[in-house]
Amino acid sequence: MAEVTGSNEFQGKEESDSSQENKPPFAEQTGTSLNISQKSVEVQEKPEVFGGPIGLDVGTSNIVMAQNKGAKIGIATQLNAFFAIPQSKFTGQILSQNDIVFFEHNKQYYIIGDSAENFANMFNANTRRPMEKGFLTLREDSGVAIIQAIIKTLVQRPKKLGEIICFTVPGEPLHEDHKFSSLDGHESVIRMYLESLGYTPIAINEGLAVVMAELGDENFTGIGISIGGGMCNICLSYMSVPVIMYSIQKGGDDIDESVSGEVELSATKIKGIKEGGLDLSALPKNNVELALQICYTDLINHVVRSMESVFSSSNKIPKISQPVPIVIGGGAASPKGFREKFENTLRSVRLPFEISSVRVSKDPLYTTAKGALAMAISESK
Amino acid sequence: MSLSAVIFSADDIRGALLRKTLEKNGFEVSLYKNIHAAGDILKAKSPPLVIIDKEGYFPGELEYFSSLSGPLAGTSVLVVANSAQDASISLKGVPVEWCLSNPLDLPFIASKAKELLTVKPESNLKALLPATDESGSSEDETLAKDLMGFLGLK
Repeated sequence: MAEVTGSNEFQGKEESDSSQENKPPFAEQTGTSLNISQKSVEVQEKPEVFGGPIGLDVGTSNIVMAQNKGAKIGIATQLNAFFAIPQSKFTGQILSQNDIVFFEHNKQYYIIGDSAENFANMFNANTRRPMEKGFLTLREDSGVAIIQAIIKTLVQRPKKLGEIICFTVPGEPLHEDHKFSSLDGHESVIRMYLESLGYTPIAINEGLAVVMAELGDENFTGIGISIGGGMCNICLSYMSVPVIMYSIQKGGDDIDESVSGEVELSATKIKGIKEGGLDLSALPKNNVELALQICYTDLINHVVRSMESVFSSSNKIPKISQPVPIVIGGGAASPKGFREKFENTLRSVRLPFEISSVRVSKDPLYTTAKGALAMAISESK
Repeated sequence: MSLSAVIFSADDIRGALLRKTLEKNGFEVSLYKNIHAAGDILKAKSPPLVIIDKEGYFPGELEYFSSLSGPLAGTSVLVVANSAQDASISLKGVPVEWCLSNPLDLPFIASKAKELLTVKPESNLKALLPATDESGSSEDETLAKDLMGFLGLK
């Protein structure tokens, strides 16, 4: 008579019975002692090993690791990108001498993470990515080896075997172009690798991770949205139970590429302008800013209309009598004026419940990793 | 008095929502999917309240549940269903209440569950009874039985 392990936070357990475990519900635990949103973030140049549970955001553009560091949260990031060059003894020596992160595979040197971007800039070329639109790409022959190597730069073997690591996975895409689902395969590759390092891996949906990081005071009830490089993830959570989870395969990268195509500047250059203080609430000063505003408006419209369509047609949503908050994380939600633009667009649609507020999380780039950490901590208790 | 309930739900999300809500309202909850194990579960746990979320169960599975009048004696049953007609489960001698399943009104279900355990003296007393083996009966149990007799309850 095996009991049901219902929601995301109980994954990995054969049985979950509140009477047997004598453990308060997750929402209550995190609502008090584990309220991640209250903690300040300390970004580390090089990841340190503190021991204890880990949160890992495996995003298309960046991989972010979060770990408790006393009263703070230690954050380490790595660009989820690589640059391949032919293998030679001389090149290997040069790379090693210059502290460039690389590994050898199939007679090539793969320069990975942040180093890859520096290298690509030197060669005036583009980096490549082991992930595309939220999932491991099938285009790159060595994609699995590369993502493992990038994760390894952030996550060392645990001090205690079986330590909990909670990693993010996307929701099923709304309009999947492929004939098969990539989600299970993607999740199992990451899971297997983390297991091989000696961890007990638990997957958490990216949107739910935003809820876990930000909505502790709201009893983990609300909508969490992660707007990343490769995709947008949306999750409606009720008391930390992910009622609806889905993704849209559009994100910050699409904005860069679309604008790049319009204004004849490289996508990397556009990304730099976008991250260098774009203000969506101000009148655009030039054609690049105008194109960025148009693309952002399109992305926000896409997300908001999808919410109207998915939430209105679902029969899974419980009766929600209190207005619920929306919290948005992810690097692509960083520009000034994003929240106001989102809120204004939201006024044009009808949802089956009321919204109390819209806010962008404090550290958008680190929000999902922080939420994954909150989950990892609760599972370690 | 500790509140406890056993939930049967074929749907992971609905089951988790029901469990979270009741836990939040002070219940100790066990959630199961397999309704065919209900006989053993009821025997082992003897819960004062059973909630069955009908959505997703096949008629044959619900028929099996209907055959559990014996193990369910003295237990309150709350059926979550689309309508009062849909909620009708014939359990001989077992009082059955129902709540609407779509939309799932979780605060209402929680208050109904509490009401069933606090208002109904039989269930109330059953919840108070200490766990004893089949052969033995404690002093508390005797007192509770006397009280039930005094109140004119079976």
